[in-house]
Amino acid sequence: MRTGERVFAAAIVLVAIGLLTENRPTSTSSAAARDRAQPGVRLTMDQLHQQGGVPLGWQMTLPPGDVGAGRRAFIDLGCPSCHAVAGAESSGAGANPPGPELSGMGKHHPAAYFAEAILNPDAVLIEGPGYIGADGHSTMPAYPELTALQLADLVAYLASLDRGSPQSCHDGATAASALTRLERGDRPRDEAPVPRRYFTQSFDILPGQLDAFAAWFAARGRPQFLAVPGLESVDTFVDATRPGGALTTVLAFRDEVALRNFLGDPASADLWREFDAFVGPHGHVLSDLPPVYRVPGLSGRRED
Amino acid sequence: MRRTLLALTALALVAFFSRARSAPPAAPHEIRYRLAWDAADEQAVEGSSFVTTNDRGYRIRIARGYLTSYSMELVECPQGEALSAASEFLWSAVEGTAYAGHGAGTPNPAAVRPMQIESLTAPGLHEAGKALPPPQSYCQVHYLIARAAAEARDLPGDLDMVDASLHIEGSYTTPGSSTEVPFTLHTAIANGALLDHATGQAPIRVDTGRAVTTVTVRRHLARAFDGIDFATVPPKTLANLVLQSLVDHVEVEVESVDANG
Repeated sequence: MRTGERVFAAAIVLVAIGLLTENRPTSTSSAAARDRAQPGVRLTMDQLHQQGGVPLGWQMTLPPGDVGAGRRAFIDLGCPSCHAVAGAESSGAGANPPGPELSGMGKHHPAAYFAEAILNPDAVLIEGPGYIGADGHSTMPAYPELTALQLADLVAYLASLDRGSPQSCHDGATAASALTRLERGDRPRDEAPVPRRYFTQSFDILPGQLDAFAAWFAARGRPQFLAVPGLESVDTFVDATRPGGALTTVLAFRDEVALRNFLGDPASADLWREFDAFVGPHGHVLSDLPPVYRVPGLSGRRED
Repeated sequence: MRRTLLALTALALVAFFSRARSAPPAAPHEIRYRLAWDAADEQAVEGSSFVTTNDRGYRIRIARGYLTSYSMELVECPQGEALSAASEFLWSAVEGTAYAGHGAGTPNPAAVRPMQIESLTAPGLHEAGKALPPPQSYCQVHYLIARAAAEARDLPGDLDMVDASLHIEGSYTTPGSSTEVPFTLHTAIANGALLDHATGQAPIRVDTGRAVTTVTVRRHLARAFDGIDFATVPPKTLANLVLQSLVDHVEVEVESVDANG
């Protein structure tokens, strides 16, 4: 970064801090008026230690926020100047707002992800124009002055944005298609005989929907996936050891063009819409490697 | 406090304008997409039909046919990739991962989705749309054939092409025979091509912040039936084979004009 840019960035940060300090948004909700979070899992300290220090499937839980207060905080903090929300009463975004549109985002990410994106925008950098600045950092500014209550309210508001998305998250014809390349480094190679491209979706099934999901997959999901040219397999795994969605569905494609054709095909978006009706917030990964594979050199069987 | 803010703002503005003077930033420039057919295709029209002979000796007559060119997009260069013949080696040495979260719903600003319906009995040139992406480097072109929606361009009046990617009505004549055997294809299946070399084998490299670019996707309709043995191909797979052959013979031409002259 050049000296001029550094001075500019430092000045902007100081100005932003000053503005936030002078005109700090106030929430009309008081903490006392909020519903307390539902009590969560109970276990003994011994059990906690046996499970590795956190409960199985643990992830950070925010206190419940107030959607209305979050909407006001969203406006007061100037978020609409960068983020459009379909149907929002007050949006300062122009025709081409620099940040991602947030309509429908509540369907696609868990609350903790929103919190992290606000508190630490550099934690996950999305490849694609508009997300990463020339300095390699997120273009989203940090808001260190936010109170925990404001954060909870903002997250509640973002999580409530479950409608009006102009585009399915699986509608890949226009998806930003940059592929981040990571050095293999110390990662063991897989032993797949032929290179593949993988599209992975991790999720949890909505409560009470397992049987309906299985029936849909058998009748419609599996045959439709396997009818896609270049899609060679669809597999679903359960991993109960990690936080977040325990199920992972992996689509293996013959090559890059087959993957891109699939992501761009409007029929795929229809298929995913049916799939997603059974599952909660989820993320996707595109990769050259299967998300899970066995490494013989680091494995063993009694007969080996 | 306000004095401090004013002073800092002034400082920021000075820094900004001094930076702007010293290094003019790259600016968005237009990308124009065009759909074209091989010159031989335009000469293969006989009356109101398209007539060709495939590499198996079958003479094929298309009496009515439409294709939905769904989308076209430039694909970003992989980050940090050396633009050389070593790129394929590099591809084998690294893994690619894209975390699709916010990004998955983010439109590729270099994409157009014309949903252009093209007549196969009158193949011609179509302006498929324009994009104005921010400065970015692109190394591939993706062309996708997929089903049309109701808002598709140039929907024909004589046939419902909504939800169809390809429709062909015509006939074939077996080598050594004079009997025309009618056939009809109608499918919603998608297929596409991803090209990293333009016609003439030059690697694709488009820096949209520096040049105005025209991307022409050229298809070869006369070769769409190559490899197809009509006498043995099951009718259900015929549409798949024609689509595959079409995308196998796609070429792309990229013309960039330096925006700075």
